[in-house]
Amino acid sequence: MEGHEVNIHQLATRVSMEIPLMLQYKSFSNDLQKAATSEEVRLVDFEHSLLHKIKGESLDVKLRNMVYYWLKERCSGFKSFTSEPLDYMKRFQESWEARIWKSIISMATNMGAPLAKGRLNSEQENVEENWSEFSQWDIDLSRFKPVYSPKDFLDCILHISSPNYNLNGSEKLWSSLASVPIKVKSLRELKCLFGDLTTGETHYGLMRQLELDGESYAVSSPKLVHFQRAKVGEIVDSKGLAPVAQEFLKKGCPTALRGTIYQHILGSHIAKEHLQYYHELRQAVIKSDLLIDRLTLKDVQLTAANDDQYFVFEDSLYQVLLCFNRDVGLLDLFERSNKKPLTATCKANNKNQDAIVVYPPNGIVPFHGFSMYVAPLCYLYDEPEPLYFTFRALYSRYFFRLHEISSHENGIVGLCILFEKLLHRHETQLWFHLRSLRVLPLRVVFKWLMKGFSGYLPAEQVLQLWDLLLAYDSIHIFALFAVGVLSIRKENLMKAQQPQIVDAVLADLSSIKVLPVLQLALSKEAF
Amino acid sequence: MSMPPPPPPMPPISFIPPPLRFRCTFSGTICDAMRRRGWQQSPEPSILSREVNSDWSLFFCDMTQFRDAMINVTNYRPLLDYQRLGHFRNCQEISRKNNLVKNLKRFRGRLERAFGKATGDKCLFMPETFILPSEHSKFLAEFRTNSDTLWIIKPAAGAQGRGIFIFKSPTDYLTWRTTFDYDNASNDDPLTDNNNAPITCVTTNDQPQQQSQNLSPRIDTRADTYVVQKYITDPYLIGGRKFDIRFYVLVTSFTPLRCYIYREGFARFSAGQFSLDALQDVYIHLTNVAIQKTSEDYNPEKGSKWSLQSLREYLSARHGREKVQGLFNTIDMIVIRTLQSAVGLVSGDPHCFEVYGFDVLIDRMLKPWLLEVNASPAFTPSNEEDYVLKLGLIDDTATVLDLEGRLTTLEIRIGGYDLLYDDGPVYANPNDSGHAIGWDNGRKLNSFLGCKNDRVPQLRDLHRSASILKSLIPSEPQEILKLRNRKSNNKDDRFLMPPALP
Repeated sequence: MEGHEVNIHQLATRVSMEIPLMLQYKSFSNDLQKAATSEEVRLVDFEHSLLHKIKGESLDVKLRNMVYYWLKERCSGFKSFTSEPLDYMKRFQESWEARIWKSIISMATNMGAPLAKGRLNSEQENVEENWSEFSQWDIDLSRFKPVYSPKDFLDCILHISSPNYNLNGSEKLWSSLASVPIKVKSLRELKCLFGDLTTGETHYGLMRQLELDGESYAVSSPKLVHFQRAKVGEIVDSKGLAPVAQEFLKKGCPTALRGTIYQHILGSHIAKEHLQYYHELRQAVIKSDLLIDRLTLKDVQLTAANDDQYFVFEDSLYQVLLCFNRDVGLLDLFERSNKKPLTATCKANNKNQDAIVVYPPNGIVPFHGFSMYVAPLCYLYDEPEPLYFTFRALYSRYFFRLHEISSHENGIVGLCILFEKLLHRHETQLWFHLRSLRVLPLRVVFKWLMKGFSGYLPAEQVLQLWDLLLAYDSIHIFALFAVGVLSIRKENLMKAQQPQIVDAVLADLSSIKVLPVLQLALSKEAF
Repeated sequence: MSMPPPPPPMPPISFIPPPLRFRCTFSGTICDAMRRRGWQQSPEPSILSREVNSDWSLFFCDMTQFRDAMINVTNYRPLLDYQRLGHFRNCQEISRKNNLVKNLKRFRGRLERAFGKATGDKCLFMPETFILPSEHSKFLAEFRTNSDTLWIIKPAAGAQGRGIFIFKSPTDYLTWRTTFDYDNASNDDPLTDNNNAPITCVTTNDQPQQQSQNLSPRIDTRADTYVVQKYITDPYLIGGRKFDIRFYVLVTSFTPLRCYIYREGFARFSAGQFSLDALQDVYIHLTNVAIQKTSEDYNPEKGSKWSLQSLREYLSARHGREKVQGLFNTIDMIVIRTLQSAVGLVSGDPHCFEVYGFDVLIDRMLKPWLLEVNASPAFTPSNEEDYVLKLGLIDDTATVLDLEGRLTTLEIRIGGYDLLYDDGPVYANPNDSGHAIGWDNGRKLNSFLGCKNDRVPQLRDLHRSASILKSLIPSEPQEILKLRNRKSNNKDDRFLMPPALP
């Protein structure tokens, strides 16, 4: 936990300063004031009676949760640094951002379209009318193409090297990212971290799999597990404490409860403020037209709308992603990452001076497959609001690090190194076989890591993987899982004599089950 | 009416000379599937000579051919013992909407008399329906009292969404009625199957229809009977879109009823967001692939379908497994009750079998509604995945019919088919009462709709164990029948049995 390093007093000061900025705070403070003025709180014994009242109204749960959310989101910066400490990492990120910016500008000039413009009244009406049906909206997107794909990003990452670090011959041989000295966890440490997965206790996800295969009749006592998990889940849900919900998720979650459990952990329970916030974003979409929107629409068309599982949710995705593009609250992310938002000058209407604004408003340029961060969540929520805030919390807790260059342990570079180290060390034979075919294993798995396996596994399996991501609060599960996938396909990979065959063996992950694969990966001998 | 005699025991198969031949007039999936099994296609007799060639063992016919085949049979050549025909003589008893409604109403009455109102009411899985013109006055009475209800009119024998019309106001209905002249209506043509005159404003594809009219040498192809039904205004929506589900049921005999339910199927989505405001927009309200194909943004590669497995995954993710299992249990009951309602009406010819396509709609309360039963479900694939499904379906159908004589008739699962009803309900696990395996609502029928279909390894194991079994068990048909007797003495079972015919 990074938080330990910070002086506890400083932490407390920061908490008290920043919590009032959270969305949930307003309704909380209203409730608190109401509680303080109620009859049960007496002046004589103010402290005790107030605390009693607070507990009675379970306001303490709300407060605890708010501190928890704050710790998880705001406090997960770099160790003892608030932003990227390494200069060469900064330079790489800067040059990468410059490339993205250049390609956006050139697209805008080619199209002859402005980066952003206000909509006319008639257009606004049109958008509002089509709000739930963007898929039927008639826009020519044929000339747009995604700004960058995971492949482009990987090419950029592979060029990173530390100027302070000289590789010797053997290191060059084994790793593509060996010259980036980021400390990553060893398998032994991962075993400690994910220890609960390997104890042999029944996991809800494993039981469910048997049921969907139609074979629960062969197993004698799934009922007990189901019943127990469902009961415990209900209690966890009714208490509403985020850390408890997180602990609960470790052993798997009855699918019907998953949506609310996620909301508890991520703080995306919908209050009045959330509705208001979402409504404002919606108005922003209606009022303004961004070039980035076209990219988002195009991305959904290319990915989700073409996917057997997700095509149904095309409209929900638009509703979430277009609002996401305008969510300036996400700019906070830049304080604890290596990214700098792109900026553009804005032609002011009446003033002479041009203002510098962040573009796109949330500072995030979507890549090819960005919508896959949202798509599996459509299985959990019908309404756009919970969908939006759950996605937003997931993104600002984990996913934003998956497409920036930084030395953070949870960043994509760290994940890549972790993956390579694990594969090299614990699947040595496979590693050298692949290297002898001139295949870089990272090339195959990079897109999986970057999208959190969404779009590659069936939705239920993605959600099970994300369950574990939330439960153990560690994105390293992706790298571990990627190693597991390679080891479970090892037999066929070892037979491959051509790079194309390696790709073919790993092209279809639809039959992969998350839990057995992870258990396999964790059961490797750590030495 | 007395119960028809039980069918003769399975004919001895050994004398059919390999390779087996099949006859099929529609090209495509069926032929592909049968050729893969190593069968040969029997050449079509020329149209002029009315000569029947009987060197086929399996004939996938349409209704006209079926009639021809049967006429030939009665006139001069009976079907040989091993020959199988892909229809029942009067399958319209459930595949025509008006007959289905009529039979279900009658069957419900029988159930009510035998077991009480509660059991009878379980047959109310179709929205309230009136047959036009015969129940015209009843409908008008209902129509006047419930002025807020939405109604949908469908031609009784229509297919592919033709001639469907949704309305609410009396004026719309009157306009519709004037285009249609009841006085000339003749509703005594039970063999009309899927042609009907285009009548209403929303008729979309005239072309294929005219083609088929030219092809079929029928004298009168007017389908004059319509059904008018309460429109389900709160369908279950996924991503804001309406869908219905299609799955397949194989009936190998109606007397006694023996049916298999296929694990795989699909959910068909409409193109746009569901709303009750745009009643004229067929793309929103109808989910038929035939309709959706004409929609502008229909992409054949991506389709607008989910496999039943995906749907089951999705629904379980939303509502938990118990509710979803409850939903699928209810669907099993719908299948059994629908088929039971036609027992005694459909001829018990042992040469016949039929694959029915059931269309079911789910409403917001997760209650399934039967929309219709198709006697000739489309086997034309819409994309790669669909092709694989249908290939498997046809292949497994042929395996169940077992003209090669490889099975023992004791199997309750064959490929993707699960035996649902065999003169009595068939349970997934006959040895326990259901409570031990986690089903609080009693025993689980042997139906796995929407579960994983691992038919290839299953068939391999099946054939292996069948060949061993056959060497062990006595080969007299009577002995096998004794082994096959799956009837239990559970008292709940009697509710699942059809009541005796009056």
